[in-house]
Amino acid sequence: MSPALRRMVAEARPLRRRLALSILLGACSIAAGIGLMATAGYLISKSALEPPILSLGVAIGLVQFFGVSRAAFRYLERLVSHDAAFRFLGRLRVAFFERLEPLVPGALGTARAGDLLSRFVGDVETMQFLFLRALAPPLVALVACAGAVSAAGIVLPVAAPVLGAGLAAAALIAAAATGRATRTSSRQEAPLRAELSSKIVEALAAGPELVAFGRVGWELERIDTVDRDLGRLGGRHGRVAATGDALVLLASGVTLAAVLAVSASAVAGGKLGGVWLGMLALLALSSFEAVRPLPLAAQQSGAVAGAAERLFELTDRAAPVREPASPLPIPSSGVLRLEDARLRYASHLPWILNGASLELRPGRRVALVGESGGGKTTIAGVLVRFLELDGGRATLDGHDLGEYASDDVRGLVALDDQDAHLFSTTIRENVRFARPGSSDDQIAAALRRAGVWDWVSSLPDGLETYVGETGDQVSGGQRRRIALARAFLSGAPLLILDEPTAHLDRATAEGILEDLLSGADDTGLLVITHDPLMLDRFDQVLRLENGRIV
Amino acid sequence: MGPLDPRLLREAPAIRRFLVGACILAALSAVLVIVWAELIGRVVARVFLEGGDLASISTLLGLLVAIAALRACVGWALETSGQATSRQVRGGLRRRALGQVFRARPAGLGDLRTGEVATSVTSGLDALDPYFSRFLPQLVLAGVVAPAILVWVAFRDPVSALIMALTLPIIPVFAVLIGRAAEARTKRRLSALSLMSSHFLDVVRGLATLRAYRRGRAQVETIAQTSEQFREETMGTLRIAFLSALALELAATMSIALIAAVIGIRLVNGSVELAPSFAVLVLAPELYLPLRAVAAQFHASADGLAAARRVFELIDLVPAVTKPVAALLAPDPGSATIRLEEIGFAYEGRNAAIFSGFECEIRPGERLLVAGESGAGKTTLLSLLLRFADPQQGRVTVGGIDLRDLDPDEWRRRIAWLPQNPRLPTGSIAEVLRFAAPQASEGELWTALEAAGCTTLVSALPDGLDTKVGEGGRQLSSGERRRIALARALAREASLLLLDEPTAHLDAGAAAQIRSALERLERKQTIVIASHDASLRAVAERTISLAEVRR
Repeated sequence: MSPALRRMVAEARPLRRRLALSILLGACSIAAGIGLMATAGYLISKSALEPPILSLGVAIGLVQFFGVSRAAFRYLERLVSHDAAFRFLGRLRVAFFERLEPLVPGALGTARAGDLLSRFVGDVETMQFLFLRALAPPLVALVACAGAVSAAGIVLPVAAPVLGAGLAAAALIAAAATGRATRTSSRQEAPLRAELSSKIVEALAAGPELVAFGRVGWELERIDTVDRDLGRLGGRHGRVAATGDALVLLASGVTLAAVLAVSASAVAGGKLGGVWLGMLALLALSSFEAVRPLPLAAQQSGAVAGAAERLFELTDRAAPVREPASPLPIPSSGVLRLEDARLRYASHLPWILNGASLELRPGRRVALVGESGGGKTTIAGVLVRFLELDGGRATLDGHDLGEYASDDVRGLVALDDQDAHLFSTTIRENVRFARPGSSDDQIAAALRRAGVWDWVSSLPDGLETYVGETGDQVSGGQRRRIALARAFLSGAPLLILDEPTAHLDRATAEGILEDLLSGADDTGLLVITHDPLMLDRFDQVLRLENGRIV
Repeated sequence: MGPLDPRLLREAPAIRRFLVGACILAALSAVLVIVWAELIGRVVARVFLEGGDLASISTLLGLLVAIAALRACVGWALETSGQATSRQVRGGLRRRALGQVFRARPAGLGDLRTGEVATSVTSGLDALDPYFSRFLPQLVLAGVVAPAILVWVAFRDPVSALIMALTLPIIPVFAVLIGRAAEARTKRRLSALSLMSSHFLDVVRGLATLRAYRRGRAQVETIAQTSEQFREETMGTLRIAFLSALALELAATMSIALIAAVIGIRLVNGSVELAPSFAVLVLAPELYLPLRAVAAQFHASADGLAAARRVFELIDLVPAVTKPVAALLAPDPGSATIRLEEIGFAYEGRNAAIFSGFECEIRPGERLLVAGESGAGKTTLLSLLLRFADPQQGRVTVGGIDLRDLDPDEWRRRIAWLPQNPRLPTGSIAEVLRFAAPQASEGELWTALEAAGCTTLVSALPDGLDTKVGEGGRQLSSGERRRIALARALAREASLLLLDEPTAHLDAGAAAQIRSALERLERKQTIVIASHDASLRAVAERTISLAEVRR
């Protein structure tokens, strides 16, 4: 078991009673299935001796009992195991969310944070299979096989080691072949898979040029080459897995023959009543039912281990900012200053901020321009304590920002992120969470200030309007304005707006800026933009170049 | 939705071949399992009733092992052929879907998202794997082995066959009945359920926003509550959903129990013999096994088919331009006039027309500058010339022939294009240039580089033409990229050269280099330059301003 998987199993410790119960029920179900066939074999053999029909009553009753209990145990096992899996999932969601929370967005790095988070969610959800598909089947098989071997041993001691060896061989073959195929396939196929998707993404991005230059066929052929390599590897691994399945089938045949052989010589030697022969045969045959789910379990445990590894890799990262042990009380307003700020995302990467200085104070409107990827968003991250500087100072009224609790800083400085998220709920809730307990009037006022109230009030459901999954029911401009309303509602005396006009057409962008700059109040504003729009309306325009303000 | 999507069968002939092969293997498997059961019955009867010793059954045991080996081989063949079919079908569907995406969105993906398209043709298609390698083989086995066993048992022991024949249909009937009862409830629950599981995704995706407003930790409570609610609701659904599995298993186990009891009673009467009865008992679970496997894999199959349908949506995209059945020969724009006649064009889903009643003429060999603000339709004009789209009204003609009557690929062969944001494929300079001109000799590449003003740049590189550029190679500045892209367009032997904003987003020095390269170009092609850069007027012989002429 991989270390990540072991850590994940440790997370499931509080649920161990439920898990043990589900394993017991699963083993009982399989044992009942074996019991059904074994007693049926005994029943038929006994009948062949033509005894009085009443003497078969017990055997017939047992057969019926096993028949019913096999299905009943299985039903119960499914309920208990799924319930446990969902409880586990609930715990993990909370536990990993708590670990992830301080890391976002500072520790995610700059690129593809959205993908990282989506994968995080997918990986957490995968953990519902940790128990259901990866851990339970081998444990159930172990208990059930132990039961079957003991039963065989009671009837004929010498049959026990034969059956035990056969089952063990089958289990090992299944686990080894599938485990090997899964391991090598994930190791060897993963880079090819990544190459395939990056080739496809590249081709899709270069679509117009491929079409214009008549290279679509050529590009598809290049993609197919990777696919063929992947297919060859997949074929090899698939054949290994299939060979495992075939060997399990063969092992069951050989074991049956061996059990028949030792039982037959025991019957011939008078050490075993002939009536037990059929029972042992069917016991041996049906006990391989326990081994059947193992290949799939081996495969699943590989997938689950991969997801567990990714989860721990992410949540084991160091928090990007340290919280002070005894934070300073936060002033109700103040001057936020960046002095000679230096920051880079890793020691091998270039400085993204290299001596940048700026000042933000209430009532002042500052525009920050510069190339995209030039560190403008990084400055915003530093000012709201998502990121820690590597050099220089970020101060609030002369005190280092790190001396305040970061949530207090965020109460003073609101950041409207360039891809501010709209939650799949109503417009009201999407704005209100910036200041819980706000009245509809306050929300309406914030929306009005963001220039979107006319639109909201024209909607049939008004504030109750559902914005759709990640806000896809509203247009880009409305989305930005709803996010902006949030920043206004927060009541923070300092606002940082990161690209409030990105992805908008010019009229909408100008509308938003106009609304923003025409309001006469005491809010300090830092507008980050790559778009040189209406710059003359700001009190100060700063340009960020090569990590410093010029 | 049936387990076999007719569309999938139609689109992928490999599946039909696989089904035929699988049926043969399944028939073989049925024969083997029957022989196997008979052998076990014979062994038990010989030792138990006839007092045979180990030696007397050694041949039978040997045969038993041999049959087991053969069954293993058949299983192996079935599984691997399923895998191979899966790979073949997935590869075919991927290729067709991608090809269609390029045909339908030649100017860029637009409403389709790169990530979504890439996912549905890669990991999305992988969902078809369990469908082919597990579900379909089991389905074929269920369809072939179960009837074969039934027929054989009818021949050996009609009473048991009757029990089997009566209980076998119970399984699907029960599954359907209970499934239906649960379905309405499940559907209602499922929508609630997907809402809840997406809640976690929503919160995590928006975590940075939540933290900016100090609401990050507040979500822990909500997540715990939602998860608990999710669990309770789901378990409510599962309690019913699992009933169908319960009924299915109960039908299988109870009929085995019934068969055993009935055989026992008749054995006591002496109306049947042990060996065939024992064989029937061994066969009974084999009758239900594939059916149960099919039921267990049903979700995998549904997932796989859903993935296939998403790919079919891509395959069904309408091509942006149609290829005529009998295409005319494309006239050479180097010697024929191109006319845009009464053009009306609007992008789909947008009301504002880019062009309406637009007229324009491009004379052979001329250098035309198309000026206008961004959004005025310069790029659209080039798109119409490239046939990334056809106008909704009016027509574009070359030498009097409507472009719609030409094979688009044939027509594009005569065009070279410098896009606004050229994407250079990763590779050496030579590879980048040969992307547009696969047949060009090294000398021709150098000529093109020289014409684009890249000679100094490339000859200074350590490996010359073979220097890797872009990701993992030498980084090019945006001016250098633009010039290499210009060289790429020039390397193509095309008589119509379309340049889209060749100087946009470049600093003054880089823009001047492009401009002087354009000035020095030999006069052998018709050149259309779309740009809002007024300094390019010097390069052109004629300028049309879209702001003035359009509409």
